[in-house]
Order: sequence, then C-alpha cells, then structure tokens
Amino acid sequence: MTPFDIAGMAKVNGLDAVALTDHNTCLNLPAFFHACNYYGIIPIAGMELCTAEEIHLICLFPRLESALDFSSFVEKTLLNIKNKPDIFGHQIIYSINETETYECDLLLSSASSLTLSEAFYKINSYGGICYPAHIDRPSFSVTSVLGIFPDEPPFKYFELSNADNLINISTKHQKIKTMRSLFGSDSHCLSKFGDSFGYFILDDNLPWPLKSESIINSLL
Amino acid sequence: MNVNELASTLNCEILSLPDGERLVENIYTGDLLSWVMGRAESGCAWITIMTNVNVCAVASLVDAACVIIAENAEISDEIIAIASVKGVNMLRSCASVYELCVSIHEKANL
Repeated sequence: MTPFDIAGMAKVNGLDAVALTDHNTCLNLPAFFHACNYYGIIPIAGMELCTAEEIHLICLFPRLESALDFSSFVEKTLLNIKNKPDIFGHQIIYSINETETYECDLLLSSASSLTLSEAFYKINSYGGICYPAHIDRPSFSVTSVLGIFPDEPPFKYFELSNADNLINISTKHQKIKTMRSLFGSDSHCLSKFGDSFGYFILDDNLPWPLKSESIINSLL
Repeated sequence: MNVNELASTLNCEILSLPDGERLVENIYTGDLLSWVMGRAESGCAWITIMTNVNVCAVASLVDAACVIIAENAEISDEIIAIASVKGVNMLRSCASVYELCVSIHEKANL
C-alpha cells in the first residue's frame, strides 16, 4: 500500500480529507502529501504513536513540518531495536514521487518511552491533537491497557474501529459519554479502505479551499 | 533442560511444539511487549499472560526457547497456528506467573 494508493483510494471513496497515521513515524508523509495534492484530496499529517504503556494514540498535526519535527523527536524515544522484516514485515519509506524507496531499520512497532500523559502534552506543544485509538479493541487500546478510560490527560475525542460498538463501550466507560467519538477505518491494507468514515461539522467561517491546518485547528 | 522436559515438569498444555528439543537457558517474565523485546534473552522461557498475535512476533524476535501462557489465558486457534508456522514453542498452564516461577525454581533448577 503506497502513499499514492491511499490517496487514490480516498478519491475513489469520495473522501474530502484523509490522514496517514503510520506507526511511530511520519516519514511517509511527504510522499503522501504529494499524492494527495495530485488527486485533490486534503492530506492530514498524522502518526499512530505507541506510548510507554503500549496504548495507541492517533496524533494529527496542522502542518507537515510540525509532524516531521515530532517524528524526529519520537524516533529518539523508541527502543533501539533493528527491524527483522521476516517477522515484522518491511518498513518501506517512499520518496516524494515514489520513484525511490528505502527501508527504515529501526523497529517501528515497538513503543516510545513517552507516557500517555507526556505524549498528550508533547503533541500539543507541536500544535497537534491526539486521542486514544480503537478503544473498542482488546489490544493496544487505552481501555484494555488501563482498564478504565482515564480522567487525565484531558482527551476530547476517542476513536472506535467499529461504530456498532459505541453503545457497548459507553456503557462500560461512562466518561466517554461526554466526549466526541471519531470512527477510524484503521485500514492496514487497501481492501479495508473505506470501511469506516468520520464526519466533522466544521465552522462555516473556515477559509476555502479547506486546508488541513484549519481542520486540525478547529478540533483543538 | 529442553522444552519437552520443561512442559512435562510443569505439567503444561502443549499448544505448539515445533522444536521440543530446544534448550531452555533462562527464564523471563513480562507482559509489556516492548519491554520484553528490549530485555528478554535468547533461549529464554518467556512467561506471560499476553495472548495477542504480537506474542509470536516478540518470541521470534528475542529467539525465545518457548512461551508459557500463564493462568490459562484464552488464546485463539489462529494465533496458535501462527506460532507453529513461525517455529514458536508455545505452552500453557493454569498456574499464575508467580506459581510457575516458583515451580521452575524448585523443579527445574533454572
């Protein structure tokens, strides 16, 4: 699944904006932005960060540059373990027009040393937002790891991988009733693309054409 | 002691045993996968309650002699099948992590 594939699928599925949230890295974002510009899709710079507690957080940034800066910071907080492609798969990074690729040697499926709370405030300091990923899933979710949805840090959103789980999960975790749910497709392959869509109601006064910066800022 | 002997000593259920002759050289316990990745040593029997698919990946990465799933934690057939394919020895016990460690210390001299 290349950045161009993702942008192309977003176009086919009629999406206005799409976020790329690779695990613990933003290095594929330049190619993704290039591909989205080609297809007329609004690209959103993102990452799925694995915190020290092994909780997955979706991080979204207003600008590509801030995401890349954050990615450089995260790289230094990852365990220094080399990827073994036969076990974890290839970690391919694409050049801006996808003519060249290289493999990231550092294992990206490990965890950062940033705790949930440290990550929240760090991402804020880069102008980004973050929220717990797939809280309806039994692995790497804030609810499965901590057992409860914590009061701190003050998340405004949470992500479900399946909208059908909303009632069940909000019965178990009362706190999320006052929060906004976002539905992420969590697509790890093209065939899963478009399984789930998110809708935002944005401020009428946002400048047109929409840019990722105004979308993310309206979620802050 | 090899994995066959350890399984029999601890009275473990055998989930996947592609290499029962593998020597168990040390013991490691932990449930935080990234922690285990960075610290477990090759040839270990890794005792955990984690049963998601990444357990197979981590066991392969650290070259564990076997994984012992404690407290009869539920594990899917799909993950057991992956363990066999990846050559990961996987045992399961109703004992807790603590009880397994005590038994290993008393009976297996590891």
